[in-house]
Amino acid sequence: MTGATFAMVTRDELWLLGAERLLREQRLSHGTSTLRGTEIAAIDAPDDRLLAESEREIEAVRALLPCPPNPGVAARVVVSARRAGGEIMTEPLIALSYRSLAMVSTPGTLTADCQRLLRIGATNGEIDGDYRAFPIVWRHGSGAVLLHEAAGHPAEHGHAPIDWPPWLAVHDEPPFPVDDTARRTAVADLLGGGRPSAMRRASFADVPLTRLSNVVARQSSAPFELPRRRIEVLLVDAGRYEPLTETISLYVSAADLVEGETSRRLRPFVIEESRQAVARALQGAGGAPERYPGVICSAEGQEVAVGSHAPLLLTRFR
Amino acid sequence: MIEVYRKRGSIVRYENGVLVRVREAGRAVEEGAFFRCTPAPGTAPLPEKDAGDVLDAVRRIESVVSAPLRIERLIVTDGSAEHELGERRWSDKTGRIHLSIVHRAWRVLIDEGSLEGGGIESIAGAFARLEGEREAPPRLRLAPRVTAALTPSLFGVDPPNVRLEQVAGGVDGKGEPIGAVAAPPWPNWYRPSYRVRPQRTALNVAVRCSVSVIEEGLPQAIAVLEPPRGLDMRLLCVDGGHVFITTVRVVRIEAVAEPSAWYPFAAGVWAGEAEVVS
Repeated sequence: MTGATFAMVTRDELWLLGAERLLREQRLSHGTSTLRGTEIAAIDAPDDRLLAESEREIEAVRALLPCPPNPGVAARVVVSARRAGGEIMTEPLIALSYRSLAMVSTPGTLTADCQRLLRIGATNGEIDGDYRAFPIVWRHGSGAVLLHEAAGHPAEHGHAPIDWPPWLAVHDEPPFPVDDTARRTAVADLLGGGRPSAMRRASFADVPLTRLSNVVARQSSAPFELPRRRIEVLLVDAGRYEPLTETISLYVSAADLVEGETSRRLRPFVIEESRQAVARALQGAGGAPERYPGVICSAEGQEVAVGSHAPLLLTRFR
Repeated sequence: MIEVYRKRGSIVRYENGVLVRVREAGRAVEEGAFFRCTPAPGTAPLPEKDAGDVLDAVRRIESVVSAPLRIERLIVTDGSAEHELGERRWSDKTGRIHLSIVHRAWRVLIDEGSLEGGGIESIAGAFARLEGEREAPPRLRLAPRVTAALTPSLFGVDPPNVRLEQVAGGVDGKGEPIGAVAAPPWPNWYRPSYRVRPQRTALNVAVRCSVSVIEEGLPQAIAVLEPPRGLDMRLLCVDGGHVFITTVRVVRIEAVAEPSAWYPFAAGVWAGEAEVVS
């Protein structure tokens, strides 16, 4: 690692949404850190430009917060502004929660995401389903979370590539010109042995780590017929990749069992498979990548947001 | 009522090959249901911590973990902090080790509440001799660190024969003395950072049992492979000259010895050996 000064400001607010919006928690964090060789010196010094940028961003997000009719909707607004290598980068995120469901939204998609969250949350899980007994259709870009775990994290760990369907491409496409160590970022081919280029950190006091930034899956000529009986995944709560066994665990928080014209909500379930099994399970895909509302990825105690985009995917685990 | 809490701290942390020094000061305000916190950069910072103790701990740990084992994660932290709430002033020091050691496709997790790291050498020695996985023995002795890892899972479970108590000592997140408390409601406040809203919980918890004599000769669980999932645990065990991994569901706690060490689980745990039925 090379010498570089990094500065960061984070504003974090917890709002309860409803007929009126109530601000319950408000946090400001700022500091700078200097990396020399394998030593980091960090102190909570303010960066006036970042303070101003982040205040401007969070004011804009506050104005967008919806007033949903349902009680129990919360929004955690997190705006970070970072300075590295002369570049200033801001990132506004809104983590929406309702009942046991959550989404990570952006200012541009907040209204639509909130409506979708309420729609999904209006139905309770009523039946258990064996995810190996049915084909799975990954709606709303949720397949990106599957590929984040099965292709993205192995790439972070430098694990050897495996065989993936030839119609599938998955890249990490950082939305920032430089990373948190001031190095230029680049697109990485996650299926072809590429490693994510960006070193990222959750705060000024954290060690920069090689992390995913923005997972984008694309397909070419992989049409499929929608199975009459299928599971449709709507929301994924969390995922995990175990590097020692190269297995993934995916916690599906909302999914429907569809049989012809009828649809019943499944209780939350966990998909546990090897990454090879995930690759073998991919049967087809359709359409352009769709943004999945949110992955907050945790590694070494550092939580960072990772963009997630995937086309409609069909898998069949056996 | 408005409560204003101030903290300034200095830590040095070794994290997987990188040495991090952090100095910061902050202020947290609670006003009814509203909580806010900000840095307080005008506050004179505490002096930078010397890294000697941290690096000594790292060297000791690295010297006892060798092939076929490898260190997957090593975080050693040494910190000092000064706190202020109204008229109250207090200070504290913290030392923590978080270590994960890998042998083939297995991992043991070790969390220590001091920089001494006692016991790591014996765990590493046993882990290196690992033979494989076995069925859970019907009865097990849990080393204090394993009892400690299990303790947070016992809240709300109300296992027969045991109770959870708060052990007296130190001060809480609002500067009040931590007293001995035998049952909820827990009067003390947990505040691990000025950025975290304090909450009432049991601090420095110990598991108490009417039986405190542990049967010798039982297989002994000396470390956990992962955080417990409720009462289900993956454990590294020693039985005579044999070392194996097993998965147990703790169905009864037969005995708990007097606490002998403090561990950084939840809001702190004092733990001793325990005897359990699986």
